[in-house]
Amino acid sequence: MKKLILYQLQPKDYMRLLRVFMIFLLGFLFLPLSCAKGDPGMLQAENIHLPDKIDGWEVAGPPQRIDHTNIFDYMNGGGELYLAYRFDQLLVYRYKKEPDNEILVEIYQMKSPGEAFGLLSLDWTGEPVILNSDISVQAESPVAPSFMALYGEGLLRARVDNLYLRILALRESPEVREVILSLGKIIAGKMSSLIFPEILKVINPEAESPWKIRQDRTAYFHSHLVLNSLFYLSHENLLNLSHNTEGLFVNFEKKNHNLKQSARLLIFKYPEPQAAEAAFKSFCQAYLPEKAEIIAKDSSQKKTDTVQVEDGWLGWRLSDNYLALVFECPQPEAAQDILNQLDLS
Amino acid sequence: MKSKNISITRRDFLRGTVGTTMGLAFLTPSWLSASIPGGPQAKASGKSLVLIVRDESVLDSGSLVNKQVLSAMLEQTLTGLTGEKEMNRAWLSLVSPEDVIGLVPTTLMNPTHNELIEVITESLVAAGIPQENIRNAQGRLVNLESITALISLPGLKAHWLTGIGTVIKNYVLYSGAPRNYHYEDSAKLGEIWHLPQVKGKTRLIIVDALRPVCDKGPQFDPRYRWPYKGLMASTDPVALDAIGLKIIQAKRDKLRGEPWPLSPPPICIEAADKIYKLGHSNLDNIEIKTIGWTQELLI
Repeated sequence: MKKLILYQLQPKDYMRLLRVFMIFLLGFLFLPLSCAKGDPGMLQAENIHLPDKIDGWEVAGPPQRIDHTNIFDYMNGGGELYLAYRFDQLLVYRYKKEPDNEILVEIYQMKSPGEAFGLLSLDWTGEPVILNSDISVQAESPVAPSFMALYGEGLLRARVDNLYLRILALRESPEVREVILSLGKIIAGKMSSLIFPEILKVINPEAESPWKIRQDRTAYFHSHLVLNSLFYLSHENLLNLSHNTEGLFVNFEKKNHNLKQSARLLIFKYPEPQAAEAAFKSFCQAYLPEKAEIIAKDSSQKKTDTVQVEDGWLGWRLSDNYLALVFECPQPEAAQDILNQLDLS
Repeated sequence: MKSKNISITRRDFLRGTVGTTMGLAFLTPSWLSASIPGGPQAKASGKSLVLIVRDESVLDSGSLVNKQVLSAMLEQTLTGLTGEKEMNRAWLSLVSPEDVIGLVPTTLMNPTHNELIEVITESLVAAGIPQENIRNAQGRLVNLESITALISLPGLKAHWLTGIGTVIKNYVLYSGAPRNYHYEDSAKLGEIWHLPQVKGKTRLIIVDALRPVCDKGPQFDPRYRWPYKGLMASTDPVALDAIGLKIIQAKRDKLRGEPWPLSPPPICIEAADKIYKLGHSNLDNIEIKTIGWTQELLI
């Protein structure tokens, strides 16, 4: 009967059937992507397939799924850090082998690779490790290290595109270290590139300047909570920071014989110039109240200047939608020297 | 409650005007004003005692706790702090068999060692406190009404939102809203100690400084935990946090070989002293007594 029906089909019917089949096939192929959370093109934590067993370590059940609704149940106030960056979700796996040991695998799915970079940038110390040798840095940055992963005493921290990883063993041993690195390599197998946030490009270090960047202290962030953990300005959000702003913290050093001097540079990128100006005004009112009026008058024409405060000279530059502040400079010339290394246009 | 237009800034710390600015910035609600003693004279007069007991052999090479050594350290801590000659009498000078005792350990980031909770429980029972009168009192859901005495057992650690997250912060879950004490409001952590169900119940604080964490997290990083192998004790929560902070800061500076200040600065300690009158934050008003191992004492 079926044969009979098929014999009765005309060529145009075959074409129609083929079209339907192709549509069905494409829909089937792309369904998982369209259903997954997060932005298209970003890695999805649930698409990372970790082994059930690795060197005798066995995963304890399916991953625990954490999002913004339950992150405080999982890590109390620590959740503020991930919400301070643009966070999608976290998958937590636990591997067991020995009764008093555990390997905890945390895969933080962030909304962009910049967020994962920001989380790793909060501490550049540790042993740099390469988890995926096929990935090379597209362009080294003079502002920050190009590490993809850092290891120390049983903790691996890494960025894999938009994923941030923390793999931690309660007790470290050479064997445990190998398992941690193997798990890291499995995840990093999905990596496509090692990129830096665009804001790093606003710094163009001048070779002849005595003020040099300490790459291992550079950090990228959005929130005043993270800023305060790097360089305390105020418990309040004086600079109107939010997910819509980008911030960069850069340490400069000047070595003169045995004397080492330091200065801290903060650069903020706002969505529009008015927001940058409003943030500067708010900063002046709270941080430099005695000079706020004069600065407000001058800043309409003069977009860069320095003032002396308790810990040295403070310099600023407002340009377009950027605001740069430099602190703890020993002389006003030092502040200008550092600000001159910026291209904020 | 926060007074608008006044912010604590970095410059306040540089000028030494944090206390004044805090006094102006934070308005005290009426329930709290009634609870806080009227003036500085009402605060415990004289110096607060902070006792540090250390023993090099309390942890083995794998960082496992030797309970026997820890038990001996606890005895030294209690007798050293109370002036009693033996542990049972020391406990009974702080609590009675009629008390319902809540032990308040730290659960996250740098949890209090279970062994410490065990030796404390065992020694309380040995001193005549009924086992059923000793309970875990950490968490939001604890019924504090039925508890008559609290023994706080925080782990020594820095904290990324409050600078230090040890003694004053250890009761944050009693507030029912820990997020209200993040940001600039971390200065208000001291008000939790004035809640009616908490106030006056803390008989002793023993800080687990066996393996403190000197970086602020927010999540645990083993590279910043070190074997200090100590217990710290006092009845003054502010003095204990002030000394804990000193140890953590000294360790941070030693690790980096240059000043590595805690950021944000822990304003909760000064506020607990100046605004909430819970104890002494000024080191001039704190007497530090040490017993045992002296290597890298960091004070």
